[in-house]
Amino acid sequence: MNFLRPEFLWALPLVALPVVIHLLNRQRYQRVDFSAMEFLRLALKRTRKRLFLEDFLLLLLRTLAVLLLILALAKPGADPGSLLAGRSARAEILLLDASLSMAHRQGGTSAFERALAFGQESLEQLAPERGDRAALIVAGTTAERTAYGDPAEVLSALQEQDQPGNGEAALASALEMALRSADSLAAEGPEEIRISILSDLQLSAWDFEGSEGQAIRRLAEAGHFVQILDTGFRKRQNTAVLELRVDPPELSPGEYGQVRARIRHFGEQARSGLRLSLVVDGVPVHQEVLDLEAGEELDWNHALALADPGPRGLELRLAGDSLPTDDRRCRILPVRPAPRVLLIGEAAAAGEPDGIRESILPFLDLGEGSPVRLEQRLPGRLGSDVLEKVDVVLLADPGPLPPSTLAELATFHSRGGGLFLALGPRTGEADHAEVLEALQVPALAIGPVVRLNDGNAKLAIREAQHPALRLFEDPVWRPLLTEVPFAAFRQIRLPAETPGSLADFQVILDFIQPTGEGAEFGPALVEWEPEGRGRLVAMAASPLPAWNRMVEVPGGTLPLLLDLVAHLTPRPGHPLEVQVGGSLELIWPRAPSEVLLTDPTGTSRHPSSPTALLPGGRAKQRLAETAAIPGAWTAEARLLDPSGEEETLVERIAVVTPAAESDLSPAPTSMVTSLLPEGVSVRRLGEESPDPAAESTAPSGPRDLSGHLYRGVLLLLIAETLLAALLDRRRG
Amino acid sequence: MPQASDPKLLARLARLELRAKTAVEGLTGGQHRSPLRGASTTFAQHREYVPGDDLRHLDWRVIARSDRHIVREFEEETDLTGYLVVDGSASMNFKTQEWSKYDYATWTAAAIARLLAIQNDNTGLALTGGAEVNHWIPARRGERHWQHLVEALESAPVDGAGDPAEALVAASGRMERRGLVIWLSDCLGRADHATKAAARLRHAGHDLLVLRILDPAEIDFPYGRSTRFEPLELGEALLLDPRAVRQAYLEEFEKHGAELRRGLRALNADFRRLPTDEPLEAGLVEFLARRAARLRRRGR
Repeated sequence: MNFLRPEFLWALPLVALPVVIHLLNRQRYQRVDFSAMEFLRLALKRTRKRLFLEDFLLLLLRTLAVLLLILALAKPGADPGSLLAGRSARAEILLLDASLSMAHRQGGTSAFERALAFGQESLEQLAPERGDRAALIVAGTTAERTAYGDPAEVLSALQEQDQPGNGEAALASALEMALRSADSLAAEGPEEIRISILSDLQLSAWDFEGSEGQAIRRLAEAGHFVQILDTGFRKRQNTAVLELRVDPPELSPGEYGQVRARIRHFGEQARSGLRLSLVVDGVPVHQEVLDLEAGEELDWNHALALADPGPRGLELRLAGDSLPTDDRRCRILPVRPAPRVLLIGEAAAAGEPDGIRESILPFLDLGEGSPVRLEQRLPGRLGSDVLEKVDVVLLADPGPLPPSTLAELATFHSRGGGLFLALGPRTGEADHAEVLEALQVPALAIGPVVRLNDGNAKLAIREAQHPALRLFEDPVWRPLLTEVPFAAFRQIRLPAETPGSLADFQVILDFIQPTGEGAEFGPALVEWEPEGRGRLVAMAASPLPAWNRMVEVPGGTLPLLLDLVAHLTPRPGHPLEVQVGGSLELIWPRAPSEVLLTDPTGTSRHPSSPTALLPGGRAKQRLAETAAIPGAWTAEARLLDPSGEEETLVERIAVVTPAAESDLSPAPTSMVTSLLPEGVSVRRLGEESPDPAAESTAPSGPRDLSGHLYRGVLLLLIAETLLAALLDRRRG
Repeated sequence: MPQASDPKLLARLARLELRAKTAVEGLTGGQHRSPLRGASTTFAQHREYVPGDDLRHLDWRVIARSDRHIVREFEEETDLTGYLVVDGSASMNFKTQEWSKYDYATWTAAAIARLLAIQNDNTGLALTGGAEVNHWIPARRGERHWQHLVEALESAPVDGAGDPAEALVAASGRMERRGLVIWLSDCLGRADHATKAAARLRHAGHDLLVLRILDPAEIDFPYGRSTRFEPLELGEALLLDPRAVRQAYLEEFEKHGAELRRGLRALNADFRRLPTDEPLEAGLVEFLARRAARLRRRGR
């Protein structure tokens, strides 16, 4: 035991004060000549022992009160394990880091198992009969208080935690939850509340200067004992696939793409002979052996072409190491057949210059192996069955459209179909207005033809990252887009820039002065992507030789046209990749009659969640609230096609682990200690033979006993007052 | 209006003689001389029988003649001898009033002597101090003798230590004839000693009336703060918290009083406790009742 304010110990002689006062009081007496002394002597003889005991007890209480008061002022501290520390009701809050990195194994155990063992020992030391309480907070992808109250129940809940999750830990939320739990436990009686944070202290996961650090500081400021126990191992080698992607992200059947991966070896020793496999839909398609230097990050790539269309599950696998979860990573590669494009337009009359239809056709209708499957219809001859099997409708300056066609187009668009408005001279402003009104495009207007009689305009890229401009990222090909001189074009008027009005609009290209200076001429390519419906682009930069003056290459913007068509092709409305812990949600073209969901381990089930109907007859369904297993999840749905025949549709979603979890480097204890308040204990569990019992009672700084002593003073004073009152009453 | 026997009133009177007369007149005021009817042999008058009268005093001859129940009354007897034994030990000096126990004892003794003188009885006086008889006045009658007694009471020293019962025994040895012994003392000696002394007196044919003079503080022990009690007689001083021992003191005191009372009653001796804040009347009435009883026995 030691004292925080030892100077108060100089007041210890004051413990004699009650005795001195007692003796002084004895000197202050009245003198009486008395007659019946014999009775007084007899009375004194009878009561002497009792009086001595009573006076002694009073003096003892007063002396002890003074003694305890002086000791309390000196703020004594006792080691938590010492007898002096006492054993009042206490509460143990275990915060268990259940992130992916906690699965790191060494010597037959994992960081998570070490944490569980420590937690179990700590809980077993609690005694419910003394009023001990406990809580278990598991920090997985979400923080969850899995048990609270009775230590036995908390222990049972802890024992059910067999392995960590596959994602990051919501540590800040878990710490906030620990603070709330500590507050509520404190209200239930326990005086001492210990929060044990069991984690591998992964540097990438803990922000001791940010949210996690602030939460810990609040816990310490609330007067709770906070200990952070690093359950990780001293040596933390790990090799992981950090990223897997395909370039381009979608392929046509037979088209080659580059599978690219980022593989990193976290460790201080080189690793050789590391087997790597590329697996497609469970079938290995490529294997090789890698040698990795210490700390090396390898950019790996492999050319891949797949013949069969559909969402294909790619997985890159490394030979398992001490943290196997991040040794494989999955990616869904959509292999799509060429989009079906319906071109609506009329041929130019004899003697007139070629219209847009004539300009486009040679570049789209390429026959066998064409990137698009093209069909044509005249504006007035559109049937509903035609649009059912079309991905994109290209309105090639069709002129006025009949109402039935407008209605069909609106339905087509509402179920996700793409619309391409190639603006030419033939379609009037009113005709465009009818189309846009039927499609419910807010405030977008197509103006008249702008003719630049004494100059040209050229295109400027406004959205370089747009998927349709992928080709023009390359400076070799970019002039094909940006150097084409335009003498005429249709004017596109966007809605006024009021807040939210342009939220669904995107200007991809602009017409500008050839010098790149001066006033802009307005948008050349605009995309509208409303929520839950198909995409629509309006392109004023039409490939008309009369307008773009590229007689030799009239289709200078035609590569853009092809990429735009690919971009407009309907995609599944759901993401192809979610992080571990995210929900799995799919959008089907129509409401399915039956869905079978298979997780990466091959376990299948029929999700019972209802489907929500979307515009155009599509159906949205949440198949899993939490996807905990990384890998490719497959959903197989039975649904009826428009002709009434049953078809089977397969979708896949990749569930991926957070790359940050692969770097097991711990936050240096010295750094953590320097960033946290003084009272917070930070230490590492014994590596060879962790002894949680010893750790749990290990001294972590003296426990302030002054509170107990003040309570003792109060109790003594109450006892003294009661005893004095009792004696006064008895003595009259 | 204060009673004539009120100690406060008596205390203001300068002379014991005057005090005694005042006390006695207060008790007998409004009555004629010889108002006390007794069982002497000198006939006084007849009167109607009332229940409670001694049947031996029925005058059968008058009854036979008149068929009325008439009893004979006699002049009181005047040859009673009363011995006043007044304790003048140092403990009798104790007082919490304006007067001490001894003062009160002398007032009472003088008043009784006055009553005896009025009745023409012989009165003797023993002034004791501790276990000794300091002054002895043989029994005589008359006004002058009473005045002599009063002077002796006023001038006697209050001193000495010892058991007053021993002084009583010593005084009894000087009593020439049997009579009514009135012992005025605080009786703070041993109760068995007092009982033995009383037995001795009774054995000698004396009648005994014990008037125990006590200060209220001896009875109630009202002390509060820490007190050093100095003995008026023998022994060591005691420094103590009176509240702490009060209960035990009262118990011891009552135990002693009860033992004393029980022993005296067993000897057919009368015992009366007289706190000094009470009127003298109680003591005088006790004396008169005792005297009447004694006279009745003699008339048997």
